[in-house]
Amino acid sequence: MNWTVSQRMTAGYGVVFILLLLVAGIGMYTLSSTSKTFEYSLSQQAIIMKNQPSPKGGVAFATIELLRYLNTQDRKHLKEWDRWLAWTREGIIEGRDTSPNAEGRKGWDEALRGVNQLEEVGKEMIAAVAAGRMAEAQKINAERFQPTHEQMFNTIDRVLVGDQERMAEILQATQAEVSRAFWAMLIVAGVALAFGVVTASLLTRSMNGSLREAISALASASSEIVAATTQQAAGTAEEATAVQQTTITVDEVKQTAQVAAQKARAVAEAAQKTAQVSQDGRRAVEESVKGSQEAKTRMEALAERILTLSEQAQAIGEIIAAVNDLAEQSNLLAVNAAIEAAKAGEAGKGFAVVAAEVKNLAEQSKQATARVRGNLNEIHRATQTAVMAAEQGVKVSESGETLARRAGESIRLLAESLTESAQAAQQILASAQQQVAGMDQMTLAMQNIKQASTQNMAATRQVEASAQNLNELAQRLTALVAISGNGHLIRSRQREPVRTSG
Amino acid sequence: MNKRARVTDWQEAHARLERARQAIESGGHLSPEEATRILRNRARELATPLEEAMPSTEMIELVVFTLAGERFGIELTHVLEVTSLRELIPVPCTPAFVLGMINYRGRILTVLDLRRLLNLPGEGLTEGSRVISVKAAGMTFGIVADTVAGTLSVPAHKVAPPPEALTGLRLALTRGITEELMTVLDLDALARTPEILVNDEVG
Repeated sequence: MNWTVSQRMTAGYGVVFILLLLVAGIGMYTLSSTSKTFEYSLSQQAIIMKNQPSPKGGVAFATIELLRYLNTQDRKHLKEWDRWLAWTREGIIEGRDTSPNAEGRKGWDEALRGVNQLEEVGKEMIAAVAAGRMAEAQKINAERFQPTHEQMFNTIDRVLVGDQERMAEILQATQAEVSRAFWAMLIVAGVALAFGVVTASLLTRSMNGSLREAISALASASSEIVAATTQQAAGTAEEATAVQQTTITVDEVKQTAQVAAQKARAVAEAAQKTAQVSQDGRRAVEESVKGSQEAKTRMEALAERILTLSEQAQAIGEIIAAVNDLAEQSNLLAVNAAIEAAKAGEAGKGFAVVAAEVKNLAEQSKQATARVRGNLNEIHRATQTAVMAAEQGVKVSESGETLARRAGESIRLLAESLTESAQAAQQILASAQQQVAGMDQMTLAMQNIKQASTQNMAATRQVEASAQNLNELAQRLTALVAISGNGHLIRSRQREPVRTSG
Repeated sequence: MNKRARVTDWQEAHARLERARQAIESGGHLSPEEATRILRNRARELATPLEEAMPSTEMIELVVFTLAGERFGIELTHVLEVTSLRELIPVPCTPAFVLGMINYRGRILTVLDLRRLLNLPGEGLTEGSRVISVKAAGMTFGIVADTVAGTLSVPAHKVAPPPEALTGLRLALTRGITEELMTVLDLDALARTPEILVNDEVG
């Protein structure tokens, strides 16, 4: 048989239930018959007990009341007389109804007729008393009432004795019945007990092994649950710490993002300022280009003027040549004059002085012209240098213009890249703000996680406690099972450390 | 800094320009101090030779000229006139020392180059070359000179006879040597020199 524990238990209990039903049915039947018998006997006995004095008593009291009327002629005794007669009749009718057999009922009918007869006689007596015929009344009493009364007593006694005898018979029958029922019950109970013991032992034997296995599994599982919940509790604590750290980190990241936003804002502002500056720079470059062109023009004009000067110097040179020629002529004249003066002897002495003076002047003129010529040469060289310098200046201006244009281009490119930088900074600003918002949400989420973690921790502790309870239950079950088996296997696992986290 | 220095330079330049303008406008007119100074120097110079001329014994009047870096003197009595060397006409078929001919006041003069005669270095003529017209031994001819310094009176005793080292034409043409190593030429001897007589004929 490969039944489960519940099936086995259901089957065992079904057998026991059927047996019990059987026992109960037999018992019910036996007891119902027994109780019927008992009921009957008891009712009979009660009737007997009740009737034994009552009809006799009633007759006696009625007789006493009638006799009192006879003596006192008080009519209240007549009322009592009627009441006692009615009571007696009632008791007789009851006795007839409860009589165990026909013979008894016939006796009771006879007693009833006796009562009627007694009443008839009583009425005659009462009529006699009412009529004042006391003697007649006494006579009726003595002759007819008293014998009727005696007969009545005898009849009731006879009936009662008959009833008692029959009751004894019934009692005996009942006793036999009860004895039978007892024996039947005893046998059935024994059989049921035997079956129950066998079934119980079978059940216990069949269930004990699997139950023990289950309890062992339960114990180990509960231990594992305790261990797992302990770990979980530890993990939850770690999680809480991690959540706290993460919250701090998130805060830091948020601060960093805010700093980044500030920086990006500053960069954007700086970029705008720089854009202004670059515009100024471009304007300056344009002015510089204009200035370079102006300088170039002026340089060219300067070169032109210098050339004009050079030409004028050339004219001076020509004049100087003429002067030099004049000086030469003067010199010659002076020499000749000196010769003539010398030829003139003493007379020419004064003239010789003049001639010498003229010669001197001519010499000085020559020297002066030589100096002028030297100066002119210098002027020529300077002019050449100046023209070359002007040419160079023009070239420098041109290159300066080119450089300025290039600088302008660079500034334009710089401004463009600055604009791009500003846009990028704006984007950075936006994303940093979004980041801050995200960090806020993250902080909120972290708080939720924290709450959940706390709740989780509480739940874990509850689970831990439940697991410990389960473990204790498993131990108790082990103890229970161990009565019929060896529970050392489970008992060895009983006290493992379970409470590790606070 | 550089800019500032340049500004200063401009101011300086303006000042210089102003000075130059003033100088040009003055047209070479000397300032009174300068004029006084020049006049004083001139007076001093004029005063000096008069004092030296006082102890004159026998003086030789010379016209001094330079040729090929040497100083030569010609007795004043031979000199007619000093003129610029202009419109020299080369004469073919003449000795090398004859440079050519010039028109001297309507007369044709032969111009001699003493460098050829005296074996002096150098050749050719300069713009400032002079022709000294002389008359000696009945002949009138020109002598080329690089420059003519003027007249000079030299005491006769200070003219030494030519040193013995001189030979040939040099010796023949040298009348004496002054203390300043100026050669005093003997023009009569030159005029009599057979070489200068132009006898060549173009065949």
